Amino acid sequence: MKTLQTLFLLFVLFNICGCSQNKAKKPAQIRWGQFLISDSAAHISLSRKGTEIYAADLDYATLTEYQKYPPGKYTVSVKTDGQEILNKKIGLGTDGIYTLSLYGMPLKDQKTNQSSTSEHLHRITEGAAAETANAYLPQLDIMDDYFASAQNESKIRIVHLAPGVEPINASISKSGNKKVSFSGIPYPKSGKNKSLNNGRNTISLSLNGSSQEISKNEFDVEKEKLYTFFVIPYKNKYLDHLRLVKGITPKMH
Amino acid sequence: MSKKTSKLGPISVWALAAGGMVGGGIYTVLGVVLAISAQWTWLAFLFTGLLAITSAYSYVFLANKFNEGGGAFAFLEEVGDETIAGSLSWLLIIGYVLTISVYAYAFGHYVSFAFHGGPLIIRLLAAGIVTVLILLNLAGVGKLTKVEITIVSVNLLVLLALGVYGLTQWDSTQLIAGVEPRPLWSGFLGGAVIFMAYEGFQLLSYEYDRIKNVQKTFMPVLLSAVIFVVILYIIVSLGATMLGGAASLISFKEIALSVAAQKALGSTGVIIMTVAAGFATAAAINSTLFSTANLSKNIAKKNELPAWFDHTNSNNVPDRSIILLGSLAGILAILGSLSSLVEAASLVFLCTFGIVNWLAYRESEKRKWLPAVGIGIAIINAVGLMFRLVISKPVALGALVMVVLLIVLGRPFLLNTSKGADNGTSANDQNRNHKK
Repeated sequence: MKTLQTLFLLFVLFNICGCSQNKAKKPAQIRWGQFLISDSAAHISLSRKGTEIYAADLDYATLTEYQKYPPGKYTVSVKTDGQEILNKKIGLGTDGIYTLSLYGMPLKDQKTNQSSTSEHLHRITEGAAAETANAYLPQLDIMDDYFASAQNESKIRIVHLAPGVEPINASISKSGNKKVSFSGIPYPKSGKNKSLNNGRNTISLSLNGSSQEISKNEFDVEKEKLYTFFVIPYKNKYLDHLRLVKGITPKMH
Repeated sequence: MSKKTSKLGPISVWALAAGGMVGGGIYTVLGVVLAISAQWTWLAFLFTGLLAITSAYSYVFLANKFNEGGGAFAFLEEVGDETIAGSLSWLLIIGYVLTISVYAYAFGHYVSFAFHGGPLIIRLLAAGIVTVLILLNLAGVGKLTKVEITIVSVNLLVLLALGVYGLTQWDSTQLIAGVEPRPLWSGFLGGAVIFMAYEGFQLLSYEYDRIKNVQKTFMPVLLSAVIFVVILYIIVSLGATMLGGAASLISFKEIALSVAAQKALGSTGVIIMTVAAGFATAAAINSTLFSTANLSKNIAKKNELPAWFDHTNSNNVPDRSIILLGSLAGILAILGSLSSLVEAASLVFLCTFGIVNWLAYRESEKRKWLPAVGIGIAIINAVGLMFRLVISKPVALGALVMVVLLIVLGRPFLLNTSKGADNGTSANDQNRNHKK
């Protein structure tokens, strides 16, 4: 009984402290990943309550730095060749950190937010967890870049954004010893975050069902960071030449 | 099984009912429902909570009317629907196995997260906890009511603290942080998926004979416990989302409450939540395994399961049921994905609770509207969940349908074979005795 009384007291104190701590809202951080396969740059705009607060033309394979915005509900509009292909409402949370990733292949004269029947049905039934190829039509994915790691530990994730390409295997090795591997990541999904060794690492990619290496890169790993590798095609070599775009996210404290 | 000498007072019944629901429920389903319903997650818990309330009413109404515990199986037998009772009892056992696997899955993830363990550690922990609890049950210490009540009380306080603390940090943007806002109807669809989070109270119907002054106290105590849990789930779902943000709780759906606690209180939050989740899920596995094994034994006694399940060891524990059901749950926890397990279990319980509400509707003369509301919500939820499974998890749905078909079509054959074998054995024994 005494234990319960103590716990109850702690509970009350806990919440009184919570009430008095009226924290100022920390801004959200976002970065843009432009992986839409299109001849021209994509024009993106971010607006809140009808007022545009950010606009930019981003070339293919651009991953911006993080930008800070007040938390709230925003509208993202994406145009290619003067035609609006995406218009989405998104929430940016207090102290949240996200990558707004654009991928897929815009069609000529496509409708805004055009989607396949499968994508439509999955969106209804799965909501934010829906991840379909959407017939390779353009999509906006809000990736949560929050990660948890042990002290001095880093994390890695691989995101397959090459439309029409087989699922991807990735292996990360250090000094020739294979340490981390991802297998069969399909378009347009990301593998779960995995722990990574600090120092110089090598990442190599292969397609599912094949042992042939299709890409190999070296990269340095610093402690307490999330390394995101976006696997995308080289322009005009969509199916057989893949490249990596690396993003680094610091740990939020 | 362990001795059932002590009677359960109203406070114990309340705590066991609330703990049975909260034990594994909210720890596992929050991230799943947030993905579907986003800012309407609270509505999902409320809508499905109404089904839980009407079902609790129906369970107690039927138990009091027939003056018998035993849940849906016993009620169907009372009204003479023995074929449905038999099939439903098998389905219910599968539902409990799925539930245990979800709890074990959650245990593995929550404990592993605190120690930054990888996938292998998660699987080892899930398998380990089930193995330990199988052994404890076999040793005859499966039902430790006082320990369970203590765990439940601490667990409820921790969750309430997290939820209320989160509400004090109110920021409506967090409900859609990192996701697209969802339409109102998504709240109803989300509710269908997570019904498993409410099923735990029905374990109390198996303890009917142990409850003090049962005809008078069971109804108000059980209803108040279910209503409390509905409110608690709404508070926790809103509060945790305020602290963690929708996208993070979805990304880390297996450990959603630890992530919320970590964002609010750092390592201290993770430690508190890990301890609460670890004990709560372990207690939930234990009580579900204990009750399911006993249920199997009772069903076997009534010849609706092969007599093999009626076997007990020297501690009077239905050892074969414990080992078989526990092992199956452990394997599922290792192999399954969270949402598939949660949804399959939810569908089984939606069917069961729908039938119990229908029975209560049929048997009652007044307040018929209560079970009628339950039937309506159960149908809406079941249709919604089937739709989701057809689109998102056709393989899991196909497997579940196959299992149901096997039960309905294969059960009579299996029981006849089993009875034949038993009769054969008895006849041989009689012949041997005669020769002697």
